[in-house]
Amino acid sequence: MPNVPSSMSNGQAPKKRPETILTAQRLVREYASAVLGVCMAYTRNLHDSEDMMQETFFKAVEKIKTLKKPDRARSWLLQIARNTCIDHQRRRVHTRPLPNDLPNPPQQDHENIERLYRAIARLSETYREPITLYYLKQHDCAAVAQTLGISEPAVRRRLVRARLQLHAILSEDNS
Amino acid sequence: MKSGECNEYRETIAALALGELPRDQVPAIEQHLKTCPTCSELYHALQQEEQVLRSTFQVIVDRTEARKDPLIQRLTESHDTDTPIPSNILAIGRHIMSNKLTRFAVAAIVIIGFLIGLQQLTGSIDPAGVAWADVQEAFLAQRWIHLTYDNGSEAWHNLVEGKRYYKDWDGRCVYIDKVLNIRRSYFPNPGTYIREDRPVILQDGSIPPWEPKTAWDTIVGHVESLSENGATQYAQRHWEAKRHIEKTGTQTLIRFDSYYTDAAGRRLLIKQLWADPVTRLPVKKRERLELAERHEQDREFITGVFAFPASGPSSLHDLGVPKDLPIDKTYDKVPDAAVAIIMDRVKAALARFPKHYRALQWGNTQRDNIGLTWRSDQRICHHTYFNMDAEYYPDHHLDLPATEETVFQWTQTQEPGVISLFEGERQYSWYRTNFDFETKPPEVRVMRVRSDYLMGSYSKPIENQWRLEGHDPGQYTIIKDAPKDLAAYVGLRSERGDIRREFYLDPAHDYICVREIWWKQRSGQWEKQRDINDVAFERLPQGQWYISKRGDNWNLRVTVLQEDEFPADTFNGEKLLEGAVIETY
Repeated sequence: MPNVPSSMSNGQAPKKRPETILTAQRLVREYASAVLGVCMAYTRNLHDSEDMMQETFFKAVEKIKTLKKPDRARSWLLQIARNTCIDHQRRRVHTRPLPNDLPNPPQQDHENIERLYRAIARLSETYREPITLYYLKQHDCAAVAQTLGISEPAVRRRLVRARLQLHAILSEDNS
Repeated sequence: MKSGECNEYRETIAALALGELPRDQVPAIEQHLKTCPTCSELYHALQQEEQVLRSTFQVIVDRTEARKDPLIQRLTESHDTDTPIPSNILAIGRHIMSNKLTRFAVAAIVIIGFLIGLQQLTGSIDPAGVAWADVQEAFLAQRWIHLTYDNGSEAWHNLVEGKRYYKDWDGRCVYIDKVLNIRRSYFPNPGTYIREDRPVILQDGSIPPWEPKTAWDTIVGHVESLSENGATQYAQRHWEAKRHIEKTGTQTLIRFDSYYTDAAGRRLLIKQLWADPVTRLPVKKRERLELAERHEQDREFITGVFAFPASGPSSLHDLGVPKDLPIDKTYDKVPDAAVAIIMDRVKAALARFPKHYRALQWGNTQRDNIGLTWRSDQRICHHTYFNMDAEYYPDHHLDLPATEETVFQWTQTQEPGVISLFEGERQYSWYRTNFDFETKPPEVRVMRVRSDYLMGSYSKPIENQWRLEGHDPGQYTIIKDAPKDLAAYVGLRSERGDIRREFYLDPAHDYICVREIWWKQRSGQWEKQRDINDVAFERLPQGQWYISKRGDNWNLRVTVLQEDEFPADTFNGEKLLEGAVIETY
């Protein structure tokens, strides 16, 4: 066995760049909030969003070998999420609930979440994903831009308009 | 400004409420808000909503975080897809090298790596001038570390995923997921299940966080910092490391030598690690085997060579572990309330048992060894005597059957063949290498005590009668279908793969285990492997029970002692070292 088996140790250029390694674990850790953001934009309540998020990951893991370019994982995953939500709306697909399902949030939070979902559902479609992702991604426009594959100014523009629309809807809901 | 003109400010106000307005635009809009009640009202309404929105989303974020681990667990279990996606490395490589810019970047990374290595050797490069993130990224390109030892053992580290695989020379295989803090171990004997546990739990019950590290940080980092900081005391063990430069031909390597001060106070060279400062990669490793392994493998050191392949094992099965084995989880098992009550009673009985005594155990035939245990609280000394053949060794022969007194008196005229001593911090195994009672010196193995629980193999009569103590109660269930002749007892069952053990405890006799049945599953049927029963009891003056006889197998007598009644030097480890060949580590 040679002492220095790696090509790098001979001072040669590395033949590959850092690989993107996708496992179930990595998909969930990196993309769960983005997937949930998309699911929130397409569903009517938190439970459905969470179920769709989970369903998305199950589908993704089943299809993972079809993903030829791992660096496209995010957009690939979000497209699965969108399709899953649309399928759900159309067919009410059967989902696989987690066995150790979390309890419902406290009453006040629960009401706020329901209100939020009603409002999101009434937003223009273009605005839904930017706004859910913005709040789920810790108010980071750059992260939203990266997730949606659009420019940061475009995200900011949509966000501001979405926010005003949301205000109008919430004010109406209050009255 | 008239209110009708305010429409154009609405988006600016929304941006301000979101905190997304560029700083240079803030003063102007704040000035406007001071003078325009309509806009001011909108701004305050947005601000209030913002608080509610953020806290509402935070609830959702927290729920998502809490869902991640169970979801990963389910995905992993149901799909067995922790196989990395086969990324088209060659295509990526071609892509990089076909582009002028990326080719330049790769060259730059290699040069930076080289400069850093040089800096390690000469200290001549300004570290601030090095794009460290790029270098780290380049090193992470080495996703797998593969270590091949010359005794047949192998180890793989996945630097990106925090996964480790080990295949030992004897077929034992281990998989560790550093992120989920899960360890799966497979032992060829019995080879019927995979054991899963949590390798590290911090004192507050949390899991230590894991982050991807370079090959250097993973393999070399610890010993490098030890060599810089001098010696360290870890888990009551003294370690130190020294750094050397070693030149072989045109290559210059750093060699780290690690020393360990053993139980007998000797400084031993335990590990040597060679690393290349230019490529920042480990090259070779030499390790001293521990005592038991040295004897098993009949060698003192093993040497491993590092490689950095593009892929590694994706599961234990790739290491040769049979598929479809059940996984036995040893953690997160909450004992049912009834088991917990029984275990508490066992513990209470054990706590009531005297802590200072002598226990003599002997059989009825010559081939049975004679055991003499001395216990003084947490110190235990167990002597084993061999009853030799009367014809050849009349001086070392005992006629059987015999009474306790006769046997004890006989032991006092003999030298034991084996002494096992736990004297607190250290444990000693003293034994004769031959039984001719000639002049060949005995051997002593000295080890630091590794477990707080010493009531193991040498603690008669504890070992005979409360065998459950020290086990995880979560693995037991109450036996509800016990045979009629065992109805008076409490039955506990543990099942691991195709092995089942049943313990029947006697509530009338301090919850002592009166019967132990071992089962093994063959072709779906449970077959009895071993049945230990037929016990007789004795009672100590303070009322505690113990097993004094098990069938025709053995007899046992316990004599409670005071602290000053133990023979001199019973627990004196130093005494055992006199005139003996000492082995440590």
